[in-house]
Amino acid sequence: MHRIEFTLNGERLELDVEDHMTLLELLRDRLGITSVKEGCGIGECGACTVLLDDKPIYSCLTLALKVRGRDVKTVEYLSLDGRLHPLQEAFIKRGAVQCGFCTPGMLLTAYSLIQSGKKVDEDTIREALSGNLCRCTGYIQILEAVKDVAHI
Amino acid sequence: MPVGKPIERLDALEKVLGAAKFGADIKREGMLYGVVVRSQKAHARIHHIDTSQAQMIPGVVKILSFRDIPGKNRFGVLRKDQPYLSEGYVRFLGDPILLVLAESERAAREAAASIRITYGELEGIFGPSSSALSNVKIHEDGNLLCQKKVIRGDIQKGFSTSDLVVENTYQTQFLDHAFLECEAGVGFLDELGRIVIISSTQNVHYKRKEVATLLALPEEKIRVIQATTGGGFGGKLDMTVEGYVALAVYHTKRPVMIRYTRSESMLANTKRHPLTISYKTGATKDGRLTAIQVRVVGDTGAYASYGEVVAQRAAVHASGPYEVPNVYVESLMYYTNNPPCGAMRGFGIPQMAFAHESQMDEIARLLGIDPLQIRLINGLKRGASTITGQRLTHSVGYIDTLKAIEPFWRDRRKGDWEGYGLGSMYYGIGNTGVPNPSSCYLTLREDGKIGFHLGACEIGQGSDTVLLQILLQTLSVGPEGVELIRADTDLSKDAGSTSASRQTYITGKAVQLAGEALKGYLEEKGFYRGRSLKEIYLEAKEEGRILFEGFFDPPTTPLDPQGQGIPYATYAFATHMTKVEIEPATMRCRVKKVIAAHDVGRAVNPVNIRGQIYGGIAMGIGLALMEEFVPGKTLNLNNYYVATIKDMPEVETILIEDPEPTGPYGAKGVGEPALIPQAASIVNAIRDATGMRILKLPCNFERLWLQRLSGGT
Amino acid sequence: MLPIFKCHTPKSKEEALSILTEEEKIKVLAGGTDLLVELQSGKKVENLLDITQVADLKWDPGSKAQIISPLNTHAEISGSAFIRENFPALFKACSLVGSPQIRNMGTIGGNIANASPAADSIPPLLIYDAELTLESKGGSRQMALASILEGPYRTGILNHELISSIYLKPLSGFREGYKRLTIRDSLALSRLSVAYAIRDDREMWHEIRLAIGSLTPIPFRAEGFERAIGGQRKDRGLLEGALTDLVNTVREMAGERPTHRFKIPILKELIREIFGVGDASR
Ligand code: FES
Ligand code: FES
Repeated sequence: MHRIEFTLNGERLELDVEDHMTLLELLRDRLGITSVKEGCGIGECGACTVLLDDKPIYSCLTLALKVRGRDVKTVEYLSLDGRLHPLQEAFIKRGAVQCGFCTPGMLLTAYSLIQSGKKVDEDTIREALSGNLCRCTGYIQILEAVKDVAHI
Repeated sequence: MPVGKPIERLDALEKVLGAAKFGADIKREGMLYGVVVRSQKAHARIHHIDTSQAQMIPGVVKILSFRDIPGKNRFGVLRKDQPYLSEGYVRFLGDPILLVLAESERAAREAAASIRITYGELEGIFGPSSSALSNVKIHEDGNLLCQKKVIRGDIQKGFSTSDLVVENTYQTQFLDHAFLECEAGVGFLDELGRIVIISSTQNVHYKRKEVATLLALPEEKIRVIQATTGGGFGGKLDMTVEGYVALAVYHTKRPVMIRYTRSESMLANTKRHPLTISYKTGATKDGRLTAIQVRVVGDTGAYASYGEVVAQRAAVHASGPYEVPNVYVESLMYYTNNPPCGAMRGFGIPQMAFAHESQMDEIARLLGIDPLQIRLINGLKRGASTITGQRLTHSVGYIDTLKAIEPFWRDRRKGDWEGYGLGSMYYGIGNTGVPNPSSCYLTLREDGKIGFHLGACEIGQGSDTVLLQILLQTLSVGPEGVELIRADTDLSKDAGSTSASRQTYITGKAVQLAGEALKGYLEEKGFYRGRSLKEIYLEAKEEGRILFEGFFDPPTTPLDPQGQGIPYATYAFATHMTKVEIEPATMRCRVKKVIAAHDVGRAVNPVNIRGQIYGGIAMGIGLALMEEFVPGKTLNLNNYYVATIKDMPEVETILIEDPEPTGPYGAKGVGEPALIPQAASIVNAIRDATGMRILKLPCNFERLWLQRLSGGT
Repeated sequence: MLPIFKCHTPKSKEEALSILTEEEKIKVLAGGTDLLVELQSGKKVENLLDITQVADLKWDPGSKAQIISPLNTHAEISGSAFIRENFPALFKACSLVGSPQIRNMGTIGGNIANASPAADSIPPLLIYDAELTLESKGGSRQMALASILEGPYRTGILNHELISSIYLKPLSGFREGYKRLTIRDSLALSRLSVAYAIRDDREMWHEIRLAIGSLTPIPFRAEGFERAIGGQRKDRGLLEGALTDLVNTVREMAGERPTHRFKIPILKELIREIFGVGDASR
């Protein structure tokens, strides 16, 4: 058991986690944040993506105790102020959502790119999203949505 | 006018918020977890099962075997040949044997892993040709599941009047649906003591029937509701977790969740049928097809699932979208000890398109005719007949798809190690030559809203939105006036499965008809002159007329023994043009550009349709270049490669609208057509780039290099 | 679901090293991108030592010049201007690992310790003659990376040792690169990889470094090849001869493998391309 303190979507949390608990399990099973999905459990699909200190990581391959003292964001963060983030709006408008299972992870990865302050073009978007699989959309409308928000 | 507009998807908001509840996201007080114990042998008798260790793991509640099944231990969409739990004999690696229920998922998984099963291994059959010859019988009736034929004209004469005959054998692979959400569902008892199942599925009414048979309960005692479903592609048509969830609730009276891990999903889920397609085509010097002789041999794996449907569809679509006077097609499907193969986007036609489109290009090449030209010469046009003898009288947009592609085709400029290819297809919408109905109903409600009771499953393809658009169009009301109640066996009628690209066309028509019935009534009651729905509701209630139904069953005829008849009321048509680039050192093929032209009848929601086409292209890239399921070896997504965003080319879509008079506002379907021609156009482009004719999929660098080493073509 | 284990989270190197000495059955956890996959797939372990919070094992790439931290992630390395300028082959290889998420998690030390034949970072580290400092409670030793790679997923790092730093020798005046063969461009395992550094002019190959991954049980420096053409006048025949010898070396190291049927011709083509004498005949 480890006592950890961390920030989740802007809120400080302190709780005990078991050594073998993954961040994915902590978020989904303990904290009920089911927007974080499991698609493979071994770091091959991106459905479980969360932001750790604003960088995308796979929560299925991260021990919960590793987030001690760090900042974790899930897709809920994007609309904390009660308004949709421009990325969420663009995803809706562009038809970038089909079954929606990849969507939370995809949005977080895109958000991290947009926030990073790096120069964004089609290639960097493709690179940034290349760790998130989508079986439905063929990615084109996702690309369009991110481009809209990045103004390209 | 909602039809034709890129209306935003109904479900998009809750999905971007992460609020949509998929199967595994549902929690109920006191929920148990179930894990299915599966066979570790492909063909064996079970000698002994030792659950003693498992029983001792704290939290284990029950371990169920086939003996605990009160009703029938068999399911299957056409042929009920698949046991939920093995009766002492297993037919594939992954065949279910026991169901472990425990207070936690960890306890259930640990218990399942601790169960020792001893097997007496039997000789396994791992391909259709050995299945045909072997005297090992996988099922009592023998190893041949079915044989379908399409015979037309005089095949001998056809070939004797040909100037050129091209003959090749094509081979395709097992594929996994790899929907991003693995199978999951929960079950519980409702206040009335009925069993309720909420699961990730493509068809709630079918599942209710199967569960009723499994538990020997009347259908009214079962309620199946669709959870938000993370992709299906055919893989959630068969029973997945539903039977196990139901059985567990039946025995424990407690809420139960079963969710498959990716590895379980890969073991349990049906696959795309590998087909061996021996294809002989005859043509005259001027490029007219005179005859085709096609033999399709498929591997349905251990159970029938949709094997018969695939065999039938493969036969009916064997020619591709071309007129051929003399035809002999034979399509056989064999049982083996491979994983069961079932429905997967396109039901065998992506495989067939790979063959017939390769043949078309070979003929064109050998005759010195342009590939686009040869398709124009032979393409199905209004008034032409398909190989089942069906005269196409309307909505035959094939030639238009070619014409739309033509300027791009004429303009193509090829660099070193680049190539361009065409792929065309036609696809019958709905089930093949069998009744294929859909119903839906609308209710007037006290709150002044119209209840839209829809049995069709939204699996990500967008049916909720498209069907609502059709309704709004019919009723001339806004979306705020309608409440959608979807895929709940208590609150909707059977709309048939979300498969065969049929929901827009068939359920769409049912929706339109229900809408028209309601509209007539509303007109009569003065709604369009300003009376409110609340007022009208009160009157309707008085009159006992609050429910308005729509029903549609497309006009088809069964196929005769020669495979002649009208198997579908309408067809979709498409052509893709693809540019590839080959990395010379490695022979890695990358798809650079696709132009996709689709005759959709009427584009109800153009943004949605484009999404379907893009998704189909991604899957076509997988089929052609990277996806391959190897039984026993492929256990997760680390060795099953689906296209990533980096593998996607630039895509241009062209929508052709040749309206289908029987469809809702002229619409047909696009879900499967989006995928079907893609792999075909890629292999033709590879031929153009390298001179190598691909006969086996996927053509990854390994296959391409070996072919290059063996001298190319 | 992970098996049940105890995870230690030391804050200092000293603490980490004592835990390593005390616990018998213990595995070191860094980014987790390899180890947790194994554990998710059913492997058991009793103790883990999470070293990612060990402050004195961590610094930015380039901040101690040629010494990189074993805890540097692939993203840190491929995001470092210092690495891009001084170790371009490593920069390239790290930018191709797995996916952005994997690169944010996986570490270079983990890559080495896991010793996968397909590890992207190892061939470039070999061309820089990477040297590891292995520390244990009793002291430390310097070992060449090449000498601690013992077999697939097997190294000479002892149970109670940690990689505490990685020293690289920059190559100046070389053109460098990293090429690999994968089924797709992301989330893919290298099926063959080549890291190279060439110092040449129009006529001469002055000095060559070449390391190959995913072909033999461990990635290796093609020293015979380097010697055969290094310092020689550019000549197609000479290169072909050296390639033939290289293939023989591969066969000696790996034995006959079915995948060699396509990997060997691809290797030859890649090297011809790198040396500017690509087979233009087809
Ligand atoms: S569930 Fe974590 S990457 Fe797939
Ligand atoms: S929308 Fe279904 S996986 Fe992306």
